[in-house]
Amino acid sequence: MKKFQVVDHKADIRVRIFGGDIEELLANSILALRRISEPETMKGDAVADMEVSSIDLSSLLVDLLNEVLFLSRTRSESYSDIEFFEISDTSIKGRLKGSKVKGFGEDIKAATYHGVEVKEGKEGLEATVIFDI
Amino acid sequence: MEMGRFNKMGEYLWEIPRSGAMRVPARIYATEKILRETEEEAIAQIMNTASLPGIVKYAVAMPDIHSGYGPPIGGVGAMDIETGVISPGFVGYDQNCGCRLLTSDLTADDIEPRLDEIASRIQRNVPSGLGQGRTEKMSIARVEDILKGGVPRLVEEGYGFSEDVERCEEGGRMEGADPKAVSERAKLRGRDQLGTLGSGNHFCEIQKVEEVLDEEKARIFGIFKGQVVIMIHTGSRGLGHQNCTDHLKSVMVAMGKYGIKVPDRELACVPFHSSEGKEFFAALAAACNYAWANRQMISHYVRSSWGDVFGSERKLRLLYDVAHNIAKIEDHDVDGSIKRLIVHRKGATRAFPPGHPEIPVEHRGTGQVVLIPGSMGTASYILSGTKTSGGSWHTVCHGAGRRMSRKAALRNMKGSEVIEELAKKGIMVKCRSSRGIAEEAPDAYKDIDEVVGTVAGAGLADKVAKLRPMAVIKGE
Repeated sequence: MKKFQVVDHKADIRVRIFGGDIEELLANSILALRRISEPETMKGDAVADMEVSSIDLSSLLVDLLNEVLFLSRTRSESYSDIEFFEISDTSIKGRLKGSKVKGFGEDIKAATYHGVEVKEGKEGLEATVIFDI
Repeated sequence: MEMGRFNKMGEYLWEIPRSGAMRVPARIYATEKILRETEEEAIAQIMNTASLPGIVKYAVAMPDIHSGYGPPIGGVGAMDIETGVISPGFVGYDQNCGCRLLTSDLTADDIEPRLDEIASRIQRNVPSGLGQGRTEKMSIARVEDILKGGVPRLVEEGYGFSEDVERCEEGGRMEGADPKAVSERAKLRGRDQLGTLGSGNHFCEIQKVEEVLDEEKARIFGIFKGQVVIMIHTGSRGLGHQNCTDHLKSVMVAMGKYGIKVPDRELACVPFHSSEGKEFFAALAAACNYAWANRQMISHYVRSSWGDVFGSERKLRLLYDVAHNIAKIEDHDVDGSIKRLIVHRKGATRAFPPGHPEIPVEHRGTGQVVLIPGSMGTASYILSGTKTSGGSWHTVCHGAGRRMSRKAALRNMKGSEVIEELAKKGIMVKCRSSRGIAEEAPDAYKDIDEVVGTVAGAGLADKVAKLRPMAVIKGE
């Protein structure tokens, strides 16, 4: 099963994200953000604990991505995995795991809420997120 | 594009009448060709924008319209300040992204033999800010100082000249900026990005004045044929991105208590006079000050580089600095009476008319200087504001506007091929990523001459000079 797919958008980056369940969808969204950020990784593991709460599941996906973006840019880290301590449709407590980075090839400004909807797809859940670059 | 739904209001103006949730019609300034090539998504976005509470007269789109998120890029919406809303997403994540132009006293022939040297030096001295940043990070107190003080603060410290303050929109410092309204998280992101370009379509360009199109205004602006000028295009960097993210989230949560529903969450908004609205406006003003200060600091690095190569006596003067992602309180004529409005511009540039009190005294006779950056490798323009631009709330386009998606641009041409093509035209490119170059290839954008021709033809601005790039610098 595909984890994510970058699709066309006129000015920004649009990504379709897939997952068998919500945890997998959220984890794959973090991988997608890592890919489009083009991190220049270096030696050294990175771990960051985080909490996010939102008004609903679709916003939770966007808010998680923006939290990961914030941590990644302020700590010079790039994350490829998340361990969930607690998860519901409106909140997450978890630990991000990844590596230290020298910098990023792409300056992602934010994950946007434009048209985001977590919905049932052919093989599980999917959502489309536009990242402002 | 289904043309039947547009009413033709003039050679360059089209209107979509009210329907569904729209409170006002949507208007688009465009040639028929531009309109036919505009994607449906962008049209849907300007129609969504017309549904925002308190929007006055019409939602407006400029000829560089293309799809964004929330409003289209090139979107303008003026809300009644008493009954209307303010929307973080209608400003976007790059608060006070904008342009400034520095003018030199040298000609293209003067600098040609040393073009590589000056371009390389500017590239070295003006970081992209995508790496680990500067070794020394500013303290949070210093970031707050910039958020409050903007360009005047930097000029007091010697990073520029007093004239620079006068030549910035808002004097480089917006009233009402409150650093306390900006989160610690946003300030953290701003600690090491003052004086950095960013990526994407942000750039610093060495350009030459290819053509003077209005001799008298050019003389007043200090512009002459063959002159070398430097254009800087960037915004508020991570601080502004985080500021938008934070306030968009709080506005989205608060919106329900004001009974506001929007067709797209990115258009989340609250009444301007609500506590959340006031808080956002104070935070936006602060981030705008950071952006003006960012362009001022980059100018300082460019001036130092220029001094190193051509001698310190060769001063680069600031012609003007103007935002194209912003929301401002402005007074406008609405059906014969002056009303106070909150004007949102997302990828659209303010173009105040001659005589307006908010433009520099020496430009009161000409109208505001308007800077329109072209796509990489194509022309840019200097325009001036006109008295006939009331229909767009004294606003024009902000660039050429994308015609091709980034993916399509990558499929179309390799970065190295684009660099080769530009070299054939005598344009030097200093960029660390050739992929970034392919995405910004000239073919990926609309024809700047047609876009600028549209705003000039519609009477929204007058052409003063056409600029041609000599070297494009994207930062280390």
